[in-house]
Amino acid sequence: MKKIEVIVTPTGETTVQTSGYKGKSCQDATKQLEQALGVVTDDKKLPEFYASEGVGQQARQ
Amino acid sequence: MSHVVTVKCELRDLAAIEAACKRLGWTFKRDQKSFEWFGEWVGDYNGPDAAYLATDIKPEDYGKCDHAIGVPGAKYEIGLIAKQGKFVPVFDNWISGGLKGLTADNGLGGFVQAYGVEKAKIELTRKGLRPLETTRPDGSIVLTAMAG
Repeated sequence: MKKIEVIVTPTGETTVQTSGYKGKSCQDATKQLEQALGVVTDDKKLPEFYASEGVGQQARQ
Repeated sequence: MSHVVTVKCELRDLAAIEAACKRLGWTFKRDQKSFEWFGEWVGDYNGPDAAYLATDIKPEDYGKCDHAIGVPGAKYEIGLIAKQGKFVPVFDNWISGGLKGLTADNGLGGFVQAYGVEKAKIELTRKGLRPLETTRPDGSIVLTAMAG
């Protein structure tokens, strides 16, 4: 399941995180949201980011 | 998890500013061109966040704004000044004005948090998503949207 979470601390620090996405699709899903909120100060890519969107399909062939 | 992005919120959207005010019980005064303050700059505050140091707002322009915000129980108001696509909040922090508790360190007394939540809701809804709001014990607000 693809999920987008936005966490805003009491002081206003805002974090946008995604789960369930493979590859760069997560960036496409949240880029507009991030730009609308303000200025990106940090961007961490997690292992899932580097998984190819086609990997699952290839494994089933 | 795919990626984690940290964003410094900028006040750009009047609809989100208005929603943030409503959320906090504050009053958004759209198009009000002046805000309540001491009324005369006496040069008694020169901290790094003083408007004339942190922005290019000149002391002779103090009190002028594009929109204003009223805070319950405060005599003075917050002015919003349009600068380069965003709104810069300015206010007089003299204790008698009632806004002394608002600082950059506390996100203007929760206003920046309220803005971030309302702006994210607007954007997620625009994408056809239905964000669910929860609050963590530390006061952080979480919006969760399932995207299929």
